Amino acid sequence: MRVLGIDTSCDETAVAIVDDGVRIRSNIVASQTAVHEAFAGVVPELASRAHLDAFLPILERALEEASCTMDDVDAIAVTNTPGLVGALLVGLTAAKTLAWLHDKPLVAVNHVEAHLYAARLDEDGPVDPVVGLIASGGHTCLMRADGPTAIELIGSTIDDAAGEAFDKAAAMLGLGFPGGKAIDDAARDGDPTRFDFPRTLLARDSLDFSFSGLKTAVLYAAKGPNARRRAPLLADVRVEDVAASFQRAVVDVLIEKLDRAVRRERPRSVVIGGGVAANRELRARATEWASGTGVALHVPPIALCVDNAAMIAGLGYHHAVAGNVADLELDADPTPIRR
Amino acid sequence: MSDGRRAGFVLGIETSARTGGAALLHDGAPIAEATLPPGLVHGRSIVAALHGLFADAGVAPSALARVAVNAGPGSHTGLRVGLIAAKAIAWSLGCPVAGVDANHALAAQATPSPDADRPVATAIDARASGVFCGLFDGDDWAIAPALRAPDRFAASLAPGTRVIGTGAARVVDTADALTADALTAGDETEATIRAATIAALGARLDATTPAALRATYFR
Repeated sequence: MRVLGIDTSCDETAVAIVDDGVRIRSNIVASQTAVHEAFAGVVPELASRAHLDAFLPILERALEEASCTMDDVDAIAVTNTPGLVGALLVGLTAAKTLAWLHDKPLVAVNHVEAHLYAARLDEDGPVDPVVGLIASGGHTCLMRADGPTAIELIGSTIDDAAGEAFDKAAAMLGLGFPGGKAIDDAARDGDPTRFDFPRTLLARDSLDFSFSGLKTAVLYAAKGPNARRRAPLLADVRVEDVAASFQRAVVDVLIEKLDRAVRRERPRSVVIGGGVAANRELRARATEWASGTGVALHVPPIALCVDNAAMIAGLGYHHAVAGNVADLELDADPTPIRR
Repeated sequence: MSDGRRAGFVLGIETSARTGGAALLHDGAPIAEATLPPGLVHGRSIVAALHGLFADAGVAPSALARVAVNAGPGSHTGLRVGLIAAKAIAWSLGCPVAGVDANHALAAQATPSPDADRPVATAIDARASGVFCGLFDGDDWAIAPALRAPDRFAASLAPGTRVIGTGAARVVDTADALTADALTAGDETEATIRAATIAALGARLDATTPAALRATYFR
């Protein structure tokens, strides 16, 4: 079964074509980084505008690269939750229109569940049960999966997403946008022990996350406790040390929560996905941690960790096979994933 | 209908405000019209409404000669829902698409006044940003569509000008308070842009390719 996948949930316009849930024939992503760079974060209105203008050229590229036409597509899968509502509606309305006119089944896909699925795009992918850590600019959560569509949320952030904290910290440090790579690069020359930033772990058995306190601590370290009234004090500290210390704190929390989840759920495989999974320290620390636990660690290639539509088409295949088909009144649901 | 393209079916899509709809014209005459549920819920309802519109009319979408859509200004999210649907339809069917200016549509559907020479001003409420407005005089714009403060727009209008659209009352009230020069507001039925108006205007305006179609935001 050949599935056309569409994702416009945040700031990437993405279309992909995947066969049988695993064979990627095309995976096209139009990045909006240049659009949002000046604002040090994603501006929802600008994201929606860019999706509208980019969608058809990206669709045409995806079909061309896959050497197929709409006639060769068997189903259309689209992200309808969670995300920025105005952004979601562009891809969703396009998907519904294509499904109607080309007489194809329409499949609704949860964007965060698709991030977990991304590891299964590798034919040597994870074996169930799986515990997955998904960390990106919009989401940070832990999930248990007993199959591609049998997914249970077991932990989530109660305030900011990890990737959002990276963006905000990078902005405070004047490192630019997107913050993930900027912090990662700066941290390579920094001392991760220079600042003892808080690791918010919540209750002893909690699988939830909180990064708002860490964000405030970085603000104070970078600009002093009177940051709202005084000029930046960055001259007094090494930006690289703040970045490295911040990154160490985030990774410590993510690994600790992952370890708690594995001890509780006893999975055969662990998946780390989402844009934060591109972080080099997280990848290295997770590999080291996994070798001591006996579970198989699966971290998709970076192109499949960041927002993409191959993961939407891949998970959409399993929903289509299961008969989970949506109608033309399918709506967008921007509600963040929360336990 | 095997030769629908020659027969001239035009689809009009309107999603720029709380009352949206779709209309099908054949050789300039409306043959079917669908009204969307009230409120800014067009993202949920527009494609199902289009499906129902064609089914009820007994017309295959492949018969379309052209798609017309309100390209703005108006509710940004609403506009994009209509525009992406129009783009995807035109792309799928290989037909041209025309973007219709919202102020042009308002002026085109204004009730003829007793004084046929009297210009028609249009004003669409843009809340804190002011009004999307223009002055249509005969066949062309005397004041080109733009985003303005209601008082500034009112000051540019001659006494007696009739103002129509969701922002008409704001313009007229401002004029009364500032200058006492009487402007008159159109009625509420004139303030709602109809999909049939979009289709009729779109049928005779220059069309473009679906990829080139753009929204008019003014902000």
